[in-house]
Amino acid sequence: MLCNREVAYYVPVEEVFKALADGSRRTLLDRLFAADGQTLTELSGGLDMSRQAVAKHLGILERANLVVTLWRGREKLHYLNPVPIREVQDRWISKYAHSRLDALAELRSRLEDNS
Amino acid sequence: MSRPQHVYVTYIAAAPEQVWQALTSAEFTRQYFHRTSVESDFRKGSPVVFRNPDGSVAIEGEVLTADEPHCLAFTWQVRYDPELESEHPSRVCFEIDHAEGVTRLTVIHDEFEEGSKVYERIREGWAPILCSLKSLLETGHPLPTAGNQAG
Repeated sequence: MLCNREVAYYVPVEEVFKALADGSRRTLLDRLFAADGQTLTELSGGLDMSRQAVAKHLGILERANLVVTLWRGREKLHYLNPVPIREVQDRWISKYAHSRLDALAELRSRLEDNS
Repeated sequence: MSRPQHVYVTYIAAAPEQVWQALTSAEFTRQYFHRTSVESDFRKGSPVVFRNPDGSVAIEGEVLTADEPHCLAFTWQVRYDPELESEHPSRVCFEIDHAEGVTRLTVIHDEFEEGSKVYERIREGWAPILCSLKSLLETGHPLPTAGNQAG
């Protein structure tokens, strides 16, 4: 039942993993998860990172489609986009869940057939 | 939070017209959107209803913008959960752009009331739905678990 259904990756999945591989970038994602829609200034506050470093990391996250920016007036707001992470989950984790569920269902119907 | 909104972006290897059709026709929404069938003529001011298989209404709203196949926006009033029904309607906007041979779908869900429970509850909702929509358009199959649980 689980065949090779390949969906298109506009952003290569390596870019998503590379973006997530850095602790500072994960911290930025944590911050957006806690409070979405922050400016560069807000994200840089209270972090042991220069504003330029934060901007660089946000750029990498944006190219990986993990962060999306929207302009609101003169403010550029950053939003966490969970879709690429969900695509990874659907590619591997859900498949394993399905295999287990299928195996259990099959076992059950065999037991019921035999009783 | 001064500007609560959910923003999602996914890239789909399909034409903008196909993405539009998937968003606006029951034949498609039934497959990726919690088995609901969308009903609307998608004219500005018209009602929009997402109907459960048992006939009850899951979501309803009013069309704000319908610029086929570029931009679709409607209000979002939850009916599937009595705890959430009392909130003011929020707003969903779908932007469909096409560049470099791929269609980018941006979903912005905003205009939540202060302290909105809907905002928290749907936080995880859109990503599996959009991934299933993408899979449906690209492979002909929605994702088995994503966006297909009842209720």
